Amino acid sequence: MLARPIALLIAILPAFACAQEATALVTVPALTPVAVRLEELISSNKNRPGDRFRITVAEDVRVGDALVIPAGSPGEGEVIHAAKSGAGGKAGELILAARYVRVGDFEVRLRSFALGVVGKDQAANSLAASMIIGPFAMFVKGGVITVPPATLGKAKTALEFNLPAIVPSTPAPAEQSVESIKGEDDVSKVD
Amino acid sequence: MYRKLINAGIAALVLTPCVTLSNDNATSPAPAADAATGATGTVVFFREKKMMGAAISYKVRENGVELCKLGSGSFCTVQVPVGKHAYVTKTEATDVLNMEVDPGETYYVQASISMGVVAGHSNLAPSTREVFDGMKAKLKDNTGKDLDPPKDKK
Repeated sequence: MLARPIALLIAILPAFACAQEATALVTVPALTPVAVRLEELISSNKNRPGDRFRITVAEDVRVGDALVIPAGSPGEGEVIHAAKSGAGGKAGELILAARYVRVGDFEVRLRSFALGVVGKDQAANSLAASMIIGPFAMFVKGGVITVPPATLGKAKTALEFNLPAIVPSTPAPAEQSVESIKGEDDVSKVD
Repeated sequence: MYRKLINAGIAALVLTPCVTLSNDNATSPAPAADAATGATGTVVFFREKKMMGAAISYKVRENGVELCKLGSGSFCTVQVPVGKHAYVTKTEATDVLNMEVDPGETYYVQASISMGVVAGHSNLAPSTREVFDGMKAKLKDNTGKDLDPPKDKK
């Protein structure tokens, strides 16, 4: 009685599942830009080299029409260098790196992190005098350097990755602002 | 009910290998992978020409190896392996700048000297190409000059 439907399932499912997987993988080239948002306050006086901090993806990353890294994907950064401001006019120093973002079970390595180069940087006013944009996110300032949560930055994918497309063929929006991401109502978001 | 359970179990068993396969495809290689390929980046150390501390020169070292001698108004360009670095200068006080170099990138480090009791305090701080370019015309290229060879460890 049960033998026939079970045999049918066994015959059909592998082909169906693997065919779906083969078409769903999208190659994300190395050095693809990824806009990221800091989720924690970082301070040159409190943080130390090696400290880890939370980041999230600020804007959807698409390859063609395929969404591969949705906004809101969590990740991690690292404090590379932190030096307190000191006597004799020694400036505070801070160098940060974005390490990776997680898309479902996949970990996408990042490199070349620079802060303050994306859209509406909420830290721009307070840090404009001290922030210098280069191949890494760094700050040099006379006093204590404090990078507030929600500061935006830009990193790049470190290597070429194969990621499953989250929305197969939805046209990309013209320019997604940070405010539109805050709604958290993106149905394609992967946790 | 019984049939549904069996079908769901079979479906889960059949799908699992494919999910595992795609995980393998997208897992990041170890962070040391770039370093293992011999990739390098460039670090430019420079020191502005200033009266204050002009008589004092100091060297930038990493793990005891001299990379650059910086007098007032000089710079050095150094090729370094990808990965973490700790650059040290020492006059009256020791200053350490931790950096991480990505392949093909160029990093700028500004050296300076501040008031001390005898020889002043040397300092290394991250900087930018714009700052370096603004003063490059007045700087002397000291790359590879006035350096002692690495000491043999016996």
